[in-house]
Amino acid sequence: MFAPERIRLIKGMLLDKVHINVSDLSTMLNVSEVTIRRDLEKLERENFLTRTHGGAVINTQSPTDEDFVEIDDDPFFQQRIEISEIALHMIEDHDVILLSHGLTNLCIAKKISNKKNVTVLTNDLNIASELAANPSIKVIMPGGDLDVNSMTLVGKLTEDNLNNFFVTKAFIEVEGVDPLRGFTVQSMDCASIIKEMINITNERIIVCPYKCFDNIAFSQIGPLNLANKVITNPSIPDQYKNYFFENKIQLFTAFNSYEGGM
Amino acid sequence: MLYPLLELMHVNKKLSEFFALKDICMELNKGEVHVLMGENGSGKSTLMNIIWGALSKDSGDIFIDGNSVSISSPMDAKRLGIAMIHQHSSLFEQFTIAENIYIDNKPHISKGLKIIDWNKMFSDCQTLFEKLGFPFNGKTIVRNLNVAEKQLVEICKAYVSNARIIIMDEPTSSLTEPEALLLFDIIKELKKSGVAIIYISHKLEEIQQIGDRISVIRDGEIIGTQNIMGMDVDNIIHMMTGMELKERYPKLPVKLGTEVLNVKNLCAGTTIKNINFTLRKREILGIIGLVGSGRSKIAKCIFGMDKIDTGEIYIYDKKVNLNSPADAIDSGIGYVTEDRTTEGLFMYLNVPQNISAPNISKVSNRLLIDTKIEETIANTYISKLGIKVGTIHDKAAYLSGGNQQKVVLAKWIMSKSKILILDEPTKGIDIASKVDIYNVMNEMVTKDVSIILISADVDEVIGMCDRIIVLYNGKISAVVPRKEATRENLLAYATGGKHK
Repeated sequence: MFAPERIRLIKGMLLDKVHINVSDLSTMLNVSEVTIRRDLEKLERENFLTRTHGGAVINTQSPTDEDFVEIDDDPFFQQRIEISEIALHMIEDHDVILLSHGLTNLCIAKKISNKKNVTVLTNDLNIASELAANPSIKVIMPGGDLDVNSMTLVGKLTEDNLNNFFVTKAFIEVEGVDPLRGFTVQSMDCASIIKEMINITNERIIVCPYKCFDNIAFSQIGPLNLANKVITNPSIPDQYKNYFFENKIQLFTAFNSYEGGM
Repeated sequence: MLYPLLELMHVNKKLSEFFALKDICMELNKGEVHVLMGENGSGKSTLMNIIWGALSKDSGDIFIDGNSVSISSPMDAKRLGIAMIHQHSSLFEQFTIAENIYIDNKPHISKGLKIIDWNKMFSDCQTLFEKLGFPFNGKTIVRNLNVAEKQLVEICKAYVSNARIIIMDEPTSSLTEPEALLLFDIIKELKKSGVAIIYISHKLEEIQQIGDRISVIRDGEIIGTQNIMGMDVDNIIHMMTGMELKERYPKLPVKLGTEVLNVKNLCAGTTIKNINFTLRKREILGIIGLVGSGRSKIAKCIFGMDKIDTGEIYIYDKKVNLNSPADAIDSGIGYVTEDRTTEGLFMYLNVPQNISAPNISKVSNRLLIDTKIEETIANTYISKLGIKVGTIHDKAAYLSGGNQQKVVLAKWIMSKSKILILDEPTKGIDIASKVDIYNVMNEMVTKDVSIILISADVDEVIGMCDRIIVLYNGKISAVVPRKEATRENLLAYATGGKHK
C-alpha cells in the first residue's frame, strides 16, 4: 500500500474513532510500526492529530476536507458529498441539467468541474458562483426576486423564465420525504419554483440526505411517484426502499463501504 | 359425459407475502402430454407440489374422473395414481436399482407371509430394462449411478407404478441426447396406455417433439393454454415474459475500462463446453441460462472450486492457474455463492469471524488472530453496510437472508477483490436488502471492481448488467449488449428458440 492511501485510511479511522494506537494500525495496514509512526508524524505536522504514547488523538476541529471548510456547520456534510458522487456519474459531457436550491446540489456543483461542456440552469446564486470558476461550464440563471436568506431567485418572474427552457436532468433537492405528504420543502416560494422545474425536465432526480426521510416540511411539491430517480444515503427506513422498488423508481443509495474500512 | 382425467378448479395457495398461486384452472386428458412452462419462480413447482400432495391448497377443487378428491399427503396422491418424478433424485441411495423400482409393489412369495421374491424382482427388472432398452443391471446399488442414470431409474419406477398421472419436472435437464430419446420412447408408450403426463420443461424443441398442449404460468397465474400443433413460438415466449419494464433497478452508468478477465475455450465436465468471454474493468457482466445450463459451473471453475478440463484464464493479460479457491483469492477474485448457507458462510461462527475468513492476514498479529482488530473492522462494515445484528457476536445462522448476504459481500469488500462473481445474490431476500445489494454493486464498480452477475431473475440481469451472456446447454448461445436486451430475446436464446 502506498503512503497516500495509508494516510487516507488513517485519517478515516481517526475521524471515526478519535483515538488510535500504533500497533493496531500496523497490523491492520500490514506495515511496520516505524512506517506508521512516520505517517503519524506527517499528519501531526499537518495539524490533523496529536501523537500520544503509542498512538495518536485527532485534533478537534480538524479540517475534514480542505475544499469544503466553509460549510463546516453542516451536520450532513459527509452524506451530501457521498450523494453528489453518485449524482456525478449521472451527468455526462454536453448534458443540460438543472440544479435546484440546496446544500446537496451545491456539493454537486463543486464536483462537476471535471465534466466538459455541461450547461447548468439554476436559481441558486451560491451554486452559480461556484460554477463560475469553471470556464467549461455554462451557467444560466432565470431572473426574479432575490431571497437574501437563501440567496435564491424566486417569484413569478423566475417561474415564467424557467418555462423558456427544457433540460435532460433536473436534480431537485427536497427537505422532507413522507409516504403521505410526498416530497416537501420549507419555503413556500421554493416549492412553487420546484413545481415549475419538474415540468421542464426529462428526468426528475430527487436528492436529499437520509435525515429528510420520515420528515415533513412545510410546503408540498408532489407525491413520491413524481420522481424518476432518488439519490440518498443507505440508512433510510426499509419502507421507502420497498416503495421505490415496487413503484419502479430507481433508488440510489450512496454506500461508502470501501472508505475507512480495511 | 366424458370427464378429463384430472381437473383443477380455482386453486389458490398463498405461499408468502410476495408470492401466491392465483385461481389456477387446468385440465389434463387421458393419454395427453401437457407441458407446463414458466420461468424460475413462476409457481410451477408449487402447483405440482399441490397435485402430488406435498403442499395443501388454500382453496379450490381437484377432480379426478369428475369426482372431487382431497389430496393431503403424497400417500393420498399415490393411492389416486399420481406419481411425481423430481428433478433431483429421490431414490434410496443404498438400495439396488430393482428395490427402488419395485419399492411400492414388491413381488411377494406368498400373499400372507410378506417375504419378497427376490428372484422374480430381479428378473422382472431385467425384462423391463430389455424392453425399454436400458443398459442397466438391476442389482447395482443406486449410490453408484450418475445423475442421468438415477433420473432414468426414477422414470422406470413411475413406469411400473401403474400411475395414471405422472408429473415430470424437467426430466431431461440431466440427460444427454440419446438418454432423452429413451425417455421420449417411454413417454410415447405411456401415452398409448392412457397415462397422462404433466411435463415441465424449458426446452422449446423437445416440447414440440412430445407435447400435446402447453400451459404457460407466470407470477402464480396460468396465462394461457394452447395446442402444440401449429404453436406460435414467439407467442409462447411473449406469454412467458409479459409486459414491458419500467426502470426499477438502480443501474449507475460508469465508464468501462480495459479488459481484466479473459476466459478462453473453457470446458469442464459434461456441463460446459467451449466458453469464451471477456470482462472489462468496472463492467457488470450478466450470465443467464436455465437450470442446468452450466451458469454456476462457470463461476466455480473461475473460482478454482471445480476442475477445468481444457481452456485458459487470463487476468490482466497474465495467464493464471486456478486450482483452488485460495489461488483465485490471491488473483483478486471473490465469489458470492448461490448457496450462502452452506458455501458462503460459516453458519456457526460469528459475524467478525465470517468477514475476516478470506482476510486472515489482515487481522492476525504475527501468528494469532487479533480478535480486537477483527471486531473493529467488522463493526465498520456492519455500520457502513447497515447489517442488522443483535450483537456483533451473533452467529451467522441467526441473521436474516439479506443480512447474511451483506456479511458475504463485506468479506469480499475487505479482501479488495478486483473481480467479484455474484451467484444469485438476491435470491430469497427481502426487497430492501435487494436494493441495498444493487447499490453496493454500484459502489463496487465505481471503485474499479468488475462484476459477474449470475441470476435466474431476467429483469435483474437486464436492469443491472452492461452485457449479458446467455447459456443454453452449456454453450454460449448469445452475448447481448444492455441496449438490445429484452426479456423476449434473452429467453429465446436461453431456451434454444433462436440461434445467433
